[in-house]
Amino acid sequence: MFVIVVEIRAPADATERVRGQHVDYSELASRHPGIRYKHVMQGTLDPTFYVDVMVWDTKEQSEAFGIDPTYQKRRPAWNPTNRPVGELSPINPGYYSPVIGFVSERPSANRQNVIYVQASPGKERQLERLVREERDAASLDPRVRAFHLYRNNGWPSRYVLAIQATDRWSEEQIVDRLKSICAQPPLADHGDLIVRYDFKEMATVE
Amino acid sequence: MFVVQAEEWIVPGRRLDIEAAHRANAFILERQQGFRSGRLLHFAGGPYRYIHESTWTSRADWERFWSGPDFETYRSAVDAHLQSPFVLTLFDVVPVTAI
Repeated sequence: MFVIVVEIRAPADATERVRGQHVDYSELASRHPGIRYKHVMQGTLDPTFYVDVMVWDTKEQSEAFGIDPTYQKRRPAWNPTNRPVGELSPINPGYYSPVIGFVSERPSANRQNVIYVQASPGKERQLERLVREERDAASLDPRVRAFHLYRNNGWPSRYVLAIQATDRWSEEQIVDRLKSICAQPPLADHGDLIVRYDFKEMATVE
Repeated sequence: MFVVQAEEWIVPGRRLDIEAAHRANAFILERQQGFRSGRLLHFAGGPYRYIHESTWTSRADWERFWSGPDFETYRSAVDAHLQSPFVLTLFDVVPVTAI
């Protein structure tokens, strides 16, 4: 599986129009060979901010969509967030592989936490063990519907932790545990994200 | 030996164009005095970042190319597909392993 995480910043006066465009774009992606899963999240504290997660069977299929003429024609309406290379957050878009995860049978939860994590050099295995423990606990927690850790394909110490849960769940415990083995504090500055568009199910990943 | 890396951030959707531009203009590098090899690296962590790496016998050979008209020709072919001008970083090769 191949995962793309994209941050998008909508113009402040066009957030509803951009939401509509996300639906169009997502429906276009949903018809493309190799797409497994996609969901679009909007910030609750900052409604101009979106995170788009797409899971593909292969990198080649995702790249074929990336140069699809219909997609390219619709692209200029958006404004991807530009973060400098070297910051904790991934380059945008970022390419990831799934490391740990589950999707439960619980009802769909509309809140998502997206946390960017960079392990200290040599601590990657320790980080993954810790997240695996948290995943096991989350699988028993009725507030958590889905839990995934993705590792960046170009920077193997950099991860995205994406957790879909109800309003009453908090990421504070995981962030506290990760701090001691991270190169810098985990970045979870987006606030809660509301899932705006969701289709298909992603298989459980070990 | 001397290595030059050019960091390139492509315009979204121009992946095939940037790769074709480098392939089509590789002959310019191949005819330069002191040019040893070149390769294009695509960052595995995201789609828009490339590094073009070239190896030269000496810094002087690189600078001769860099200050001549062939560099402008190569550059103009690549620039059209970039979000911003590429950034060059230069390295002296330190022997560590023999292959």
